[in-house]
Amino acid sequence: MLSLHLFALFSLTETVADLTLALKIFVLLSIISFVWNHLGNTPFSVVIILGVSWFVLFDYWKFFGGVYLLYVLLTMGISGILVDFFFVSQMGGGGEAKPVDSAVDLAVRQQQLQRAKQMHAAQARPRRMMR
Amino acid sequence: MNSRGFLLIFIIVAFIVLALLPPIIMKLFPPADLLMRLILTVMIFATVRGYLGSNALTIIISAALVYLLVIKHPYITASLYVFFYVLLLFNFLSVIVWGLGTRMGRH
Repeated sequence: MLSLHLFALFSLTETVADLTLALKIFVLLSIISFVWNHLGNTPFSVVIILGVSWFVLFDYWKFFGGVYLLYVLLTMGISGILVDFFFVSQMGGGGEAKPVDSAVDLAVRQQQLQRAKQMHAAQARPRRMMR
Repeated sequence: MNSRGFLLIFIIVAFIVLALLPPIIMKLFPPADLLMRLILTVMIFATVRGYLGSNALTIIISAALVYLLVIKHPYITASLYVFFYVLLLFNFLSVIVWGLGTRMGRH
């Protein structure tokens, strides 16, 4: 039987802190990789890495953590899921109009359209007379 | 609540079930747990080596990440890995959204 103690007993704050640390390590990796790609492995690049890391990981972490998370999710294609999600959610309220599939269907639609026009005209007549 | 609201709830519930599947399978089948930990370890090492190349720093950072993600929080990591890295990257989540939308959205 599935015991729930592993899910229930872990400390939420500790888990969040650990995952934040892991995220910070990945951000540090990105910074190191970016600077090494542009400047090579030189003493100057080490200075730049230290400066940028301090700025990103400690000073403005709340901003850059969110931005990095968004960047990773967008890289993985979360925008496609959001598009699908909102596109599909439009189908719930009856869906798109069915295409015409036969001559009988077309005739029925024309009759319905004609009836709607007549009803609209009948409703509009008294208003015109009141003017 | 109208059918759109139900549809959104169905999609969200399906996502939650998908995210909960890996930890449940890992808990029920120990070989799956071991396999998932191996996959996560290799994936972390490959990712870090891709960033830094093969050097001592790669080993140190990989070890720290493996301890944090694979040893300390394997269930959360497995869930996030399967949900984002496997299902999202291969667009399987779109299939689920589309399937639920076509099956349940027309009532």
